[in-house]
Amino acid sequence: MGTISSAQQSISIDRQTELVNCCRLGDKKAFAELVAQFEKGVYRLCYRFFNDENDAMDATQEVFIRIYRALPGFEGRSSLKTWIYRIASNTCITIAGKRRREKDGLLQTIINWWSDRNVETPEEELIDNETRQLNQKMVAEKLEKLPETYRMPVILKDIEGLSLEKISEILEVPVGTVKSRINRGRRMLQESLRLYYQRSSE
Amino acid sequence: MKTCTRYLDYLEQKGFETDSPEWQDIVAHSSRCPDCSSDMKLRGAMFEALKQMGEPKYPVDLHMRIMQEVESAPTAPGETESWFDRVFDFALRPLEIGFSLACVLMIALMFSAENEPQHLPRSAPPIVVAGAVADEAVKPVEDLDPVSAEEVQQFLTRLDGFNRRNPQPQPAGENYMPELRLVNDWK
Repeated sequence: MGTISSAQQSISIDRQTELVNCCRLGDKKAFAELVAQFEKGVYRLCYRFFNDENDAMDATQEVFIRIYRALPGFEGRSSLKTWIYRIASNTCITIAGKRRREKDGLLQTIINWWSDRNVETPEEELIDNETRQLNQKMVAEKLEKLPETYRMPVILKDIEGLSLEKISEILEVPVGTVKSRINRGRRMLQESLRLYYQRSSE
Repeated sequence: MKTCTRYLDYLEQKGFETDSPEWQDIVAHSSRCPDCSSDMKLRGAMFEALKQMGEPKYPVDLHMRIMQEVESAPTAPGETESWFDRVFDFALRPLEIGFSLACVLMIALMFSAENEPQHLPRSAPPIVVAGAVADEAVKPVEDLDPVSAEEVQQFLTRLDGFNRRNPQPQPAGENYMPELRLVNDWK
């Protein structure tokens, strides 16, 4: 399991603060160092979210553009790592939502939003009849089909291995909400994998 | 066909409370129930698959591409996208704009209708003193002071004298008769 923390432990808190201060003054070398420290973690998160190399690359670039613009406003209320992953999460969710809206159109988006509010059972449309070999690729494909709201918490918890408190800080939602989104996301993912597992066990 | 969902329901509701007595009951139930048992196995396999997801293959030029993009990006956010693009969905833009214009037009019409001056009905008594509309006419009838018959008579006498002393030329071709009514006449 690739953990976010492993990539950033090589840089001390003091050095992070120093880098942020230099970036604020327009030091591009400092920003390049900061990018080097976090680029793999951000790319990994984006890749898990989109399950596509090109999309992950585009999202990673967008994340660092946003970080570059927002760095002067970084107040240090959370750690730099949390702040960067918050931007990464928001960027992924925003890009995915925008693409969905562009694809579906406004009317379909409203219908989806309304049906999401009313449907209590897991989305049956996630269950398909394909009988592919179970591997990480298949799980990743099913994961990519989860709604963004549930996808990111599941990725952060079950793949990146972050604590509930850290996820709550990154997503800026209460711990209770994080728990319920993870539980719901896991169930939806499990339902989508159920057919395959049933067939493979028969 | 799967029918029992006790295991999944519990996890969905209280997935992080796996040390409660209720959870022990669920585990005991799942060992007997074929549906929940298969769900339990599936959950384990799913977690295993998620945990085993290794590092992705990072692009060789990841750092370079990020830095290039940052350097070539506009300095301020939103420069690449206008508010118009953000607000209006591309596919349904004509419909959205039409609907928005219709709403604006309706509000404007409603506003203009509300501000239109109110005309008195024909049956309402004209409040005219010597041919001129009195400003006090807007006062409600209840707020006006009652006038006695003697006062009315005095006023008419004075008015008659004034009219005699200052005769007004009558408009040609019209049988002009200035109308005078007092508040007391309305009742």
